[in-house]
Amino acid sequence: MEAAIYDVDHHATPGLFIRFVVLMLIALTLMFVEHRSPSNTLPVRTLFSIIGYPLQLAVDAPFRAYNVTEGFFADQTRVSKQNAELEARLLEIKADYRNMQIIKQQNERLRSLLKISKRPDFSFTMAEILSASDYRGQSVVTINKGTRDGVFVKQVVLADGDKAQSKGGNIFGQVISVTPLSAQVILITDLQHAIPVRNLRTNKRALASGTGKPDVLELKSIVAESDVRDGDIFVSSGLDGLFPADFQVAEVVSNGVNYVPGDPFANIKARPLINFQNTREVLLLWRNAEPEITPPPAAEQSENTNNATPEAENAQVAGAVQ
Amino acid sequence: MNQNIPRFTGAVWLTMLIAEMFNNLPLSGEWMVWKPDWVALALLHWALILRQDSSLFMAFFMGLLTDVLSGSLLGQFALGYVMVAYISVRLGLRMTPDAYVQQFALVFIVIGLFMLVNLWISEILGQASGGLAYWGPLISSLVIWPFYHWFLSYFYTPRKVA
Repeated sequence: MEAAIYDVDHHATPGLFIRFVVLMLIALTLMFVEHRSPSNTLPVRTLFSIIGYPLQLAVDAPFRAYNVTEGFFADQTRVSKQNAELEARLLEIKADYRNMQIIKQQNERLRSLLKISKRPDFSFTMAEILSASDYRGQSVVTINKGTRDGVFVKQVVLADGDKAQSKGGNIFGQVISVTPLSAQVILITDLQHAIPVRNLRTNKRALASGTGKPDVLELKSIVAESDVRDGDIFVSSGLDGLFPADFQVAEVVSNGVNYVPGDPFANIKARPLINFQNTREVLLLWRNAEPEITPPPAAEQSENTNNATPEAENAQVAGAVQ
Repeated sequence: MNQNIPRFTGAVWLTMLIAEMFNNLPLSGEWMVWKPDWVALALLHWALILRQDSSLFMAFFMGLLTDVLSGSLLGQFALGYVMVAYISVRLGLRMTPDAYVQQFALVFIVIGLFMLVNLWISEILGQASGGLAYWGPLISSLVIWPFYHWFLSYFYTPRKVA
């Protein structure tokens, strides 16, 4: 009996330790390299996300099937009612759209009169969220569109808002990595994400940074004496050149504005205008290439500077008057 | 002495893929806190069943896959899973594989170490720490372990070795 116990060789694992050490070293090296410059490990990442893509599809399949069958078995009367409602809504939106186009034309004309550069034009594609990971405050989702559909890194992603008045494109996040069939999108609530915003009511600028929690954004660099109220809507300011301007981002929660004595900045909590838990579809945004209209004003300016003597001219005029 | 072999070719890999799918299940917020790491538990299971025949390379591969799917630093889960596989093989050889008390102790130690290493790496990277809630999966791993162990027992058969 005793012999049986002592006969077991606890160390009869030839090569296990060597393999362990080698694999640990490889893992540490990978981590080090990726931490230094994430682009170096991109091939490995791409390879593994291609391998993992079927898995994500498989996980997503039951939910998609449920959504499809739910629609299929839904009550006939309910569907026809919903259909009627949607058609009515579509009519409204069509009328709105007609109106919008007129306003857009007017706007463009006014802008060209004022010599302001044209507002960028966008085109959209819908993508579905395949899987969401919420690993340690890092909020990243995988979508089912990739380089094959023209998705690129740093592309802006929008989603439908959760409130009636904020329906349509609210800022959801941006693409951080792309593979041929899928892309990863970092949410604006991610701990390491921040987006420049401005208050829709007062035009005061701020920075909305993520907290890692799906329903809280912090509005930073707002000086304590500035005017921010509960329910203020913040939209993207477009100052970073990445996010387009004037898309809704966040709303100040009730009692979200707090002042700490001695702190020059207000402590403001806001709520993203997207319900990240329920969002299944997102919009990818492309800036359409626009005809260059900036050269004319620049040329005029250079003419002015070529004359280079507006003061002198003024002085002459003044002299003539005198 | 009895030796366990996988029930069919690729059975171990199949369980790994199933575990990876469980890892990627979208859960709502309050359940997310209790989400155990299914791949780590499956590696523990195979370390107890196949003992020294379980593969560290597989652990490494699954780790890289988890890293990419969960968006963590590449190599973080690879390191953790290789550690889980190695330590549970070494400790598993020293214990009675069928004794539940010893199994629970092993799960607690190995998963606890795994989570601790992950926590260190996250802290170094400056990612948020969830306070005590971070250790929720350790409890749920212990709770789920007997059922999971039983479920995965389908994938191997004992074989008599002379």
